Amino acid sequence: MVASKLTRRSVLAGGSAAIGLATTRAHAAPKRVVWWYEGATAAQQAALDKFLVKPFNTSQSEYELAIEYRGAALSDQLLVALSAGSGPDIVLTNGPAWTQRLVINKRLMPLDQFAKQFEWDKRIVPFMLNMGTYDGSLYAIAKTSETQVLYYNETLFKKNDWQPPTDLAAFEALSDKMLKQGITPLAAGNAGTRFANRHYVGASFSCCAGPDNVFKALSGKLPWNDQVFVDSIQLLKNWWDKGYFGGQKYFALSMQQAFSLMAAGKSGMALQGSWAFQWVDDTFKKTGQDLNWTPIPKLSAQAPYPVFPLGIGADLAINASSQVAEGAARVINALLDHKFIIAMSELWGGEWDSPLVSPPAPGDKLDRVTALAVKLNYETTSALQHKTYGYAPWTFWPARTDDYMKGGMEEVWLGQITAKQFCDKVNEIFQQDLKDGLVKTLPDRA
Amino acid sequence: MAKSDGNADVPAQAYMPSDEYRFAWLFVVPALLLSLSVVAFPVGATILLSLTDWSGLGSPRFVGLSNFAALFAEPRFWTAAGNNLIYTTTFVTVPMIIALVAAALLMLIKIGRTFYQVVFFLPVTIATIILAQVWRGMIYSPVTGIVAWLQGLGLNVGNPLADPSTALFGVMLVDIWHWWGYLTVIYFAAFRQVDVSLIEAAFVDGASYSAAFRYILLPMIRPTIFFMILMTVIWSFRVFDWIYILTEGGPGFSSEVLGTIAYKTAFQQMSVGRASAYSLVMSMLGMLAIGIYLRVQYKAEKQA
Repeated sequence: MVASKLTRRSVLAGGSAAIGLATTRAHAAPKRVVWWYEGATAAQQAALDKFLVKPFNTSQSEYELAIEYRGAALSDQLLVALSAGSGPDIVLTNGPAWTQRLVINKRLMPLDQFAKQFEWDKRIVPFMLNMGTYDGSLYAIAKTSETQVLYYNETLFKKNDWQPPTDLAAFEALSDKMLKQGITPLAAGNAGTRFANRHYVGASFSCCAGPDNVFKALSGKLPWNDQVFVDSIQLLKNWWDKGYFGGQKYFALSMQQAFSLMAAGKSGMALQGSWAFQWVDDTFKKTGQDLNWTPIPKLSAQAPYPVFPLGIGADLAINASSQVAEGAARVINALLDHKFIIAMSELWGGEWDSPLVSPPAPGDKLDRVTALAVKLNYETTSALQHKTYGYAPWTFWPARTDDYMKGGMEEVWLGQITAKQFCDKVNEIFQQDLKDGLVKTLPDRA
Repeated sequence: MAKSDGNADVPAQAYMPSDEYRFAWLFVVPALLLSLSVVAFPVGATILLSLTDWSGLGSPRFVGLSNFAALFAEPRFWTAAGNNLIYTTTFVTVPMIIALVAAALLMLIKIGRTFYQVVFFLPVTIATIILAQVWRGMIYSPVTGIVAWLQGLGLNVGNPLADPSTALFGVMLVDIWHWWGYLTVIYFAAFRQVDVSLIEAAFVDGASYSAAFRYILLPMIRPTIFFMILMTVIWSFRVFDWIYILTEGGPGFSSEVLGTIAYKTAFQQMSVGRASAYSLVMSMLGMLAIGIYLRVQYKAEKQA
């Protein structure tokens, strides 16, 4: 028997070793949880440090969160690193289309265990959980739910006694009035951010062709060159020709520069995403004018109103080769905290809106702009629950189709191809992607 | 046959005892291995990947030559290849001529040469991203740039990057502006190596400066010009950064080059196999351009 061989000395030695091990554990350095993030300004990095990194690292001693800011080429770096079986513990993908590729190739870890542990399955909107679920397992959590609305310069609208448009006729009548006054109707630009082109494609598909038709097309039941989609693209072409986008200035302005023109009253409206709130400090707060938003107008008879085109700009997942999966899951869980979401809304609006079943409600103490941002987040969640959501290209279209839209839409605007030719090409690429199994199966709208 | 510089008719191995020559190749092995590991592996991998449908993750599937067939059938490929050709042709002519003239003019001045050289060389020392942002925001922008100021004066000037017919030329203008100073400094250094007595003798014989430039200076620095043209062909054919930062290949696909398409295909469409085919074709076209140039140059030298 093992017990018969025990001596006083061996017991003492074993005890000392156990105490030593315990002491070592107590003083062991925390394990690093690495998160590669995209680009962020110094102020944004400071905000993340203040509201996430420091609270997380001081709240426990097992893990230490380290965020590395990798800039605009994050997705390239991730692809190379994950391909080599390395990379960060927390993987920030470009959204579901990207996540699906990584899941298929076994680069991500299933999160089902953590979903139960942290009750994500109860706290996160089912639609969003579904978007991160592949073959019955949860692999990703949406970092932020995004939507697109029609922002407008409220000061300018009040001065001219204009009302926010709710349908196509009102929108075009108002835009024509603006043009006559030398005001560009839509604050728009894509310099350095060419992906902005398909923001308009998504908005038009959802609010002109209608979300039901988009759903059918994404499910392979309706081709993308159907007349409803051709009409949607033709509408954007008509707006371009009328000068709603500001003509060639569109190619010279970045999205933020264009937004600043709206803050100065040189543009009246902006078909922009919820992320635009992060530009308010540098634009509307400087000009002292007021910003407001309204849902995108109903752009055709067949489209319902309101429709909030839904997007997931980024997915949070855990690297399959991570040695600190528990720590990574704790960090992801910290992003779902109401206190964190509200704090970040004040400093970095539109980027940290986790899709919670119970999002933080707009509070009385919030400043006007933060309240607008929180209200939009609230409406986005509400749109999911009431099935009034649309589809954003960067979330629901596979990478190849999404990439074509960026240049293809410009070709339509510049008269190099027709709306029909654009839709034919989108359809050709999409059907191949669908055949290759690269299109996410979507939750039913019924 | 390998020939030494000093005695053109004597084979190199004749200088070496036969035993030493037998093992001489061993000294080349380390450098050769290093070179092969850096160059041969990626080239081999690119060739193999171009025959697959690899997405960058998972296992590649052999698809034969279908990637090549697809890209040759793609109008964007031909637009990009044409743009590469325009870019390269422009770069072996325009900045070359500007730089030669500028270097020749520098030879004429005695005071301030160093200052001018520093000024001309400066753009090469600044990061591409910074220069591109300066041009886009401070010169081309119709809101914050010189273009805006000119428009304010009532001139009908637009942002060249915003027009599909001028976007490529708008990018080339920036790249040429950044490149010609570098060439100038190189040519100026080459001119200064020319024996002054030759030029003085020409002047004594009544030659003008332009005649001295044409008949003495230019022929004397021909190897330098030849080398810089060759390097310019290589560098301009693989252009990527200026295009990607300034236009991302747009508007439409008007300023797309093979480098930007290969990058987008690999990292934005996640089709690494197809992107490898693009890269391979780009390399082949580049090598073809160099081959043609070398052939023409060889014939010209033979005739001379």
